[in-house]
Amino acid sequence: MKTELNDIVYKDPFPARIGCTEWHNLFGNIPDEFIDHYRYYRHCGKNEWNTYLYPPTTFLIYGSRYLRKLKFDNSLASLRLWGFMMNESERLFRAKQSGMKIIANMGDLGAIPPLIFSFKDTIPFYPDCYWWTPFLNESTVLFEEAERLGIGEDCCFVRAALGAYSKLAYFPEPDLGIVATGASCNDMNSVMQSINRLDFNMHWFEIPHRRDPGIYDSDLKNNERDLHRMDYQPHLKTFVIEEMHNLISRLEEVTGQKYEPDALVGTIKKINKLRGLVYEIRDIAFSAVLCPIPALELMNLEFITLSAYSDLDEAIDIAQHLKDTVRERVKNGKGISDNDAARVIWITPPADPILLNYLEDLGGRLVGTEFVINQSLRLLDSNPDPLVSLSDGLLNASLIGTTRSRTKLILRQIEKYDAEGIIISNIFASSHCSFETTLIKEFIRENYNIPILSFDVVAPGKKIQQSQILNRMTAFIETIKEKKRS
Amino acid sequence: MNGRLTPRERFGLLLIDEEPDRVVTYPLITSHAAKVLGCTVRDYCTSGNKMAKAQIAAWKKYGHDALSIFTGVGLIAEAFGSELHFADYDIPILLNPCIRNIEEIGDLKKPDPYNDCRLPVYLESIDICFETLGDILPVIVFIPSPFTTAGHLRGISEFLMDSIRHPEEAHMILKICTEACIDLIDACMKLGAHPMLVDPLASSSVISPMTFNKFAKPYLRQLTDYMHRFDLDTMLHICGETEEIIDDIPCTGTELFSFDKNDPGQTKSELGNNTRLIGNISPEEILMSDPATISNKVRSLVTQMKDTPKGFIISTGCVVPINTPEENISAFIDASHMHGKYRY
Amino acid sequence: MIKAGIDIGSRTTKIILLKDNKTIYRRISATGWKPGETAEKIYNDSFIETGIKKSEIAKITLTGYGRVMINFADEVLTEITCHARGAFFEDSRIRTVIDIGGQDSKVIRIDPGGFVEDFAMNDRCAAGTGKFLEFLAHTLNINVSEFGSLSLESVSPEVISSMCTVFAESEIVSLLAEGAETSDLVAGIHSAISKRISGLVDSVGFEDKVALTGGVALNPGIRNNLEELLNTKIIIPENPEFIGALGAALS
Repeated sequence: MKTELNDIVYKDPFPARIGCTEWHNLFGNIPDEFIDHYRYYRHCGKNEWNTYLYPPTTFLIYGSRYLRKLKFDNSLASLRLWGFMMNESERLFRAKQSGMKIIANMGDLGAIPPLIFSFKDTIPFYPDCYWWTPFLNESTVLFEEAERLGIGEDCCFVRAALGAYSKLAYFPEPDLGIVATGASCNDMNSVMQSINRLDFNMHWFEIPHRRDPGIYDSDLKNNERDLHRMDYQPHLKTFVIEEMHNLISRLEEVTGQKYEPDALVGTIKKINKLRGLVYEIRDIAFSAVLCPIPALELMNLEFITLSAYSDLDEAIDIAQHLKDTVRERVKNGKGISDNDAARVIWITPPADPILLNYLEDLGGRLVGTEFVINQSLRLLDSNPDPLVSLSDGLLNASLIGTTRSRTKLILRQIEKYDAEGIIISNIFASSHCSFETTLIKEFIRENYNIPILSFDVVAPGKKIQQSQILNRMTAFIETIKEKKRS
Repeated sequence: MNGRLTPRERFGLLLIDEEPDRVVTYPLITSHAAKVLGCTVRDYCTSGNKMAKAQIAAWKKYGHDALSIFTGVGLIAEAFGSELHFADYDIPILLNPCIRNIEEIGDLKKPDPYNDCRLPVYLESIDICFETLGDILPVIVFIPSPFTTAGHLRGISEFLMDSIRHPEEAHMILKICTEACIDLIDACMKLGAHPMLVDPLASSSVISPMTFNKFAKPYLRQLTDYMHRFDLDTMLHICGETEEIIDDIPCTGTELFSFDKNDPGQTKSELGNNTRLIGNISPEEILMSDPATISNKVRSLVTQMKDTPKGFIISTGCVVPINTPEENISAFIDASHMHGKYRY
Repeated sequence: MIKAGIDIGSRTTKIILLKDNKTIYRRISATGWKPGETAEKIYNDSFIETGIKKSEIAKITLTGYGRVMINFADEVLTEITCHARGAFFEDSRIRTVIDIGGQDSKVIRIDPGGFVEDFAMNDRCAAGTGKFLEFLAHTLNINVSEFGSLSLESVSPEVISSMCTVFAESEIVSLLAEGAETSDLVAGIHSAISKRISGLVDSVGFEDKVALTGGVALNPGIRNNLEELLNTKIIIPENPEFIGALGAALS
């Protein structure tokens, strides 16, 4: 894939997954003009701080130690995605230094950011996503800080958000923290309540349990386009809209701006552009004979839909670049997997990113995901009242209804992408995983006789347990491939 | 650890123009770490494993805010072929420069950081330090700069004469030294170390500002440009006097400047708006003085410098002498922790 | 065609040589601290003892936890695949394999074609593995090989409630002090391990016929317990400790 900038062209090498050292060397081939061109917060102009196109070594030196063990896609578009994602911490500080408002969102996983973005110079982000930081840094400091504040190992890794909030070294003090309660998992709630006790400016947003209208099986083969639609009882929307209005009052207070429905309509269009691009990339990738983009990049891409990693315009540009890259690879019959790779759907995002590398190392590939963020993947409806669209979006969340309804999202993908196996990576000590996994297996087996592997992802540094997971994954992929060969 | 932030978190905040919990406390503890571990300096300089163990032991004892991988400024010159003298309880010094005659510069061959001489010792040390403590501590590797390296290839006075009598050849030496520095910087970066350029021969105590501008600064700039490509905050340490070249320091491209004999207040007003400053309790003071005096000096310096607009790291003007009494270093650290608070 | 399969377990390393899918050689040896060296020795010894030349070996396949440490194999497979294959080869009626190894235990469901359908492993905790038995044999000051026959003498099996090996040891020491019979304690230990295994079986579901493999399969006490808990007859293939190596050699 060639990327052109004015008259300067950079051509990606033959698709491959490469390590940190290889990217460091390959980075030398990228023209300076590209490094200078790709920037976040472009409206701030060209500053010495708003570039982000750097190789994994850069972030390694500043503490993300795990990067020396991971494998990365070798395309320019993927490097942009990584740099953009890894840079988010610094970006939030720069946002605040530039006079923007920073709003922390917790628990809603993508439903509320469109509203935040509709306020001028106001940026959403997710402290929840700092659950990856201990893994990327190979460090337990955030967990230790959470433990000091009363939340220990019996709470899932999202307790890292409490550590990060307490230290204020990973993001600046948010101007407001929006914490989702109600149909929100217990661990998340305990973390959010602990943050609340630290005297930060917080707003509680209640999410109702999604009551199914009672229709389950009829749409198994439906919804070619909308793999993500969930059914719910209509009256719930009214409740959510009311919660949105309460939130708006608080946002108006914090930002000093008035809520503009037209601004939100405009933001929704942009959010839909981003979500549409991600949908298309996933569809191209999962349908292709050779998977054109690795699983780890696909996960990073999926999570861009939550809050655009705090810069919506640049996120859209990166997603477009990735789509062009992926399309080109498929058109040329190139990819990073073998054509007989085991086709796997991955359920619940692995806190340990190396597990997605293992999938491909062992001869598997991704053909679907249910990463608990269904509400961020779906295009928002266009309704004259944008709050109706947002509420509908929220009510499509993965985790606020029954496990059976969540499993629908998986069944549709098994059907559409011809999955041969399912991996469920439980988050150790997570309350929802402890009961959901058994039910998900049962519900899948009601419809498909397909191998399912589940395991607990363990905290950083537990090498023996990590090798045990690798052993199980190896056996699982072997199982699928043996059957294919017969 | 003192404070609720780890040294990495603290250093990270400083580098993005944010106020950390307290002033970053970073005395340049290098070969002194051998004394803490109880090994000879010779072993420290020649074994990556020992160097790492010594650095870790020193950190456990003192609790400063970064590890320092450094044995002396002749490292790269030695890898080219110069001979250093090693002693059990002293730092290595230049014994025989490898280029006796200016005509021999064509024989210079760039060393391989992974195989030649003691360069792999640094790499091994970095690897172990980064694996052991890299989650909470930056691992800073001191890279001898092209000018200082050239001086150790030719002999210091010989190279200074070359800069006058054979400037073209002097630049040729500097060019290959720069390439060797970049290779070493690259190898260190890939292992997670953060390079700091050290250029003692570039100080005004040794050379004139004109010589600095012609023969030292451009090559420092090439190194900082290289590291800037990776968005690294570059650090430059020049021990001795640098007041005469203070206006030229920003042109080296460095984000952080570690100074020695300069007046700190003057340095703050001349550089502090654009450059983060590191310094400058004198090595003589920390070696010879008593804990109470050191404590007072640190308190005074921290109080004076902590409001430096681009940030301040309290340090020593040069490396902590090997035989520095441990209570002196502890007094330095404690005083900085006590008086260097920003928040909490 | 001669094929070799080596199963490098945590406690023992096993080798099988097959000629036209018939076993012509079989050996077991303690793995020790250097699995790589043990595997190489057991492989080389097989040529000395059989007179076969290395060049006659068409393929060598490794399995077991130590497989990743060796670099002379043509193929490397997990114990899951190999135990399934080996057990199915011995008896094509087998649909569930229970393997209780030295440091882990696994349950594997096989389809009528002999392919793995599903599996579950316990490698987190010693309870439910051979290690549990060895540890407690040491506490009782008897050889673990005596466990089988001893348990058959039990009149009133003791209940060992702790799942943790360390706490189970404390329980046994207290029971001994109260005068419990060794045979009843061993029966209690067998019951504890079997309950753990049956829990693992439940997580995967089982289908008849069920086979028990691994060294612990030679213990009649455990077989009896499992038959009772699962309410089914359990097949013990010939040379159950070699099933993994057999499956590897068959690949």
